[in-house]
Amino acid sequence: MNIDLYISIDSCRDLAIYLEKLDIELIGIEQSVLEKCLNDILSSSNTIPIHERVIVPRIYHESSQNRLLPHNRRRALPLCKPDSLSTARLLAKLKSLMSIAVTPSTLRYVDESQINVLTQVRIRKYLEVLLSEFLLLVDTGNVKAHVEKYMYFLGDAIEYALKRDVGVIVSSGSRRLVDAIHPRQIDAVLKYLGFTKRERNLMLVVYPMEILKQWLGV
Amino acid sequence: MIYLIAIAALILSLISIAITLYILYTHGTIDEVDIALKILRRHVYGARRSRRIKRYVLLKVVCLDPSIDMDMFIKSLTKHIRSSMGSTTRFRCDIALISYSVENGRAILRVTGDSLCLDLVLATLSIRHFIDRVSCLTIPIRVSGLVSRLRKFIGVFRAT
Repeated sequence: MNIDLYISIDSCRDLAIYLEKLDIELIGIEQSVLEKCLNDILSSSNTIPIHERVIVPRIYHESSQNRLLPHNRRRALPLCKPDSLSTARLLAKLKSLMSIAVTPSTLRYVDESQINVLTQVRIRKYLEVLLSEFLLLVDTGNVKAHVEKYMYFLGDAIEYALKRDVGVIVSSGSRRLVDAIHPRQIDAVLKYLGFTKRERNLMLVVYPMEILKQWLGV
Repeated sequence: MIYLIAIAALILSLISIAITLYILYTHGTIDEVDIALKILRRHVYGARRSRRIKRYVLLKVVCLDPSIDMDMFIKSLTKHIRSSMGSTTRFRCDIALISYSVENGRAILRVTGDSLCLDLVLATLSIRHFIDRVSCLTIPIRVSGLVSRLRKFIGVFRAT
C-alpha cells in the first residue's frame, strides 16, 4: 500500500497531474489546497478510482510559543513545525494528536532529550519527516548545504526514535511537481540509509495508519 | 627393513613438526598464523570476485511534464543514472537497459556489481530527478535475479 501523508503542491493543475499519474492510495493534502482544488481532483482521470483513494486534509502550522496548535485541528490532521527548541519541547509535552515536522531547519530540535520527552507522554507522539526538503539539498549547485551531515543526523534521529517507540512517519512534503517523490522511492532512500524492511514498513505504512485511526477515532 | 625406515621417517617428521610448532608458539608467530587463517576463513581475499551479483530492476517511469518525450527519456535513462551516480561509482557498478515499454511506462534495468551497488542504483533512481531536474520519476517496483520472474510479474511471457 502506497501512503504519502503530506504533500503541499498548491497549484490545482499540478495536483491533478500528480493524482492522475501516481498510484498513491492514501494521500494527505493541505486543507486550503483541497478546498480550492476539489473540482479538479474529482474531475481528473485518476490511475486509482476516486472511491478507492483516501484523501486526508492536513494543516501545516508553524508553531510558536504564543500559538502552539492550529484552531481547526478537528477538521484536518495537524503537522506542526516548531520555530525554536522550547516550542519543540512544549509540542512534545502536549496531549493532543499531531505530528512534529522534521525538516533540515528543525532537525537540530530532534535530539535525544526531545525523544525522551516524547516518550514520557501517554499518547503516542509522532515525528513526520518531510523527505523532499532534505533531498532538495542534494542538488549539486548548492555546495554550502552539507547533505551528508543532514542525512546522517536524520538517520540517527529516526533510529533513536524507533528504538524508544516514538512514531516516525516519512512523507514526501513536496511543494512543487518537480519535487514529487513516490512512497516506493522513499522506501529505496530509507533502505540506502540503512533501515531494515520492518523499520521501513513501520515508517511508511504502520505509523501513518495508526495516526489516521487515532484522528478518526476508530 | 623398509618398514623400519618408513616408521623412522614418520617419527622424524612428527618430531620436526612438533619442534616447528614449539618455535612458532614461543616466538608468538603462531598467533599471526591464527589471525591469517581467520582472515582467510572470512573470505577477505578474493571477495572482489565472489561478491559480484547481477540483478534486474523493474521500473515504472512517470513523466509529470507532458512536454517530455518519454521514449527519448527511457532510451537515455542509463546516461541519466550514470551522471547522477558519479564517475567513480561506475567502476564497480554497471547498468544496462534490457527492455522497455513506452505505452505502459515500464522498463527493466540490469545492474551488475557488488551488493551495495544495487542499493546505490535504487537510491539514485529515486532521487535522480532532484539532481538532473528532469521531472520524470523512475520508481523501482521490484528487484529480481531472473528477468523471467519480472516478466511473469508484469504479465508478459516471452515465447521461447
